[in-house]
Amino acid sequence: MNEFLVKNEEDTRAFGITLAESLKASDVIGLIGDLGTGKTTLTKYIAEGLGIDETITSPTFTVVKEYNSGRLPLYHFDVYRLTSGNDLWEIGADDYLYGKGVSIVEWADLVKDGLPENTKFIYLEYGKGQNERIYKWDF
Amino acid sequence: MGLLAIETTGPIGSVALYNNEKFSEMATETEMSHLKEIVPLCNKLLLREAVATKELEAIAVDVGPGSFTGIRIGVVTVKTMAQLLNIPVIPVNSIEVWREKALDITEDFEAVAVIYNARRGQVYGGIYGKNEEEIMPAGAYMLTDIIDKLKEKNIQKVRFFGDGIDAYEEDIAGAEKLNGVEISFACVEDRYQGAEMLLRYVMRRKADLKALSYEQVEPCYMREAEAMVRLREGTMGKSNGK
Repeated sequence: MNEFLVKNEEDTRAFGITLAESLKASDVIGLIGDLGTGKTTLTKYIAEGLGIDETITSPTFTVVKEYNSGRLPLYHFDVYRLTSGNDLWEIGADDYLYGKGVSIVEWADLVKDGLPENTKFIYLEYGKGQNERIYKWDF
Repeated sequence: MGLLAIETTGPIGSVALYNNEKFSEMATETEMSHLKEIVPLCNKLLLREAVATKELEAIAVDVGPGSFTGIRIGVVTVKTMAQLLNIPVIPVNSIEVWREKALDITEDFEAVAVIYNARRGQVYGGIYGKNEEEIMPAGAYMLTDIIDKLKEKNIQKVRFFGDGIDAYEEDIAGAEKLNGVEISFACVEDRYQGAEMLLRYVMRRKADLKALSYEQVEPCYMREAEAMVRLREGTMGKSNGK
């Protein structure tokens, strides 16, 4: 498992932008972490890395939001309100997840059975200090 | 009296008209733009063929299986139009329509295998033979089920259709069980669902198909119930837990 210590938001930004550079169409990133660990913040910086100039806001109520101003379309999911992969299918998520853009799914652990096999999971945890986080991934 | 058909379950959307013993069709120009284009396309076609909406007798629609969103766009559009025009709807199963290709069977192939990509190694599909006989009924399968059936029935020459080709061509061509079988894949122009093919199927099989009122039309996702998938994958009993 790879680990990255985030000391402040600048580190999150660097991580997000670097990750964005490696992304290709139909990549899916699953973000797993408690409330406040910065899933939406990380998403913002991945979006920045993709060249998206629109403001990224939390899709907690809409479940998914599309951004088309970057080098790849971005589909930003927050599945907090769903209970399983079946719920994800019911809203037509497959067309996004297997489509021509990049999907980022916050709370991916809740719908793991509905995500593609090659989903890249990133685990976000609290670190020791107030602004510290630890990111873990194995792709 | 005219018959309109709408096809939105595949990557390209299309509409077709049968009127005065003539078929005509128009298709969307970009992929996955059904929502934006399907109604304007209907308008364009009716205008071009000089058919007024009040001359339409019924509307045929592909109710799936296929793209989840595509199915819903087609079904909702047709239900709405049928309600407004007060005409019936002829719902058609997407896979069954490919029986039309069975009529094209010559010495080039002896069976038609249609597969739509349902992801995760799964397909919606069916296999039809020379006399339109059902070698494998329309359903949700693993790709391997289709291959097994071709082997079981000893099919020597098979032609594949459907967007499942785009996803699984290599797996099919490389399948050990199909060693020695002449496999061909429909060329791109011939490969996907189309409203004219749907309409020809409807005209040919008028006697067997039901015309329903718009309220009775339902989408046909043919998706394996999640429980069945998990049973098969051995993940039954695993919980997500919030």
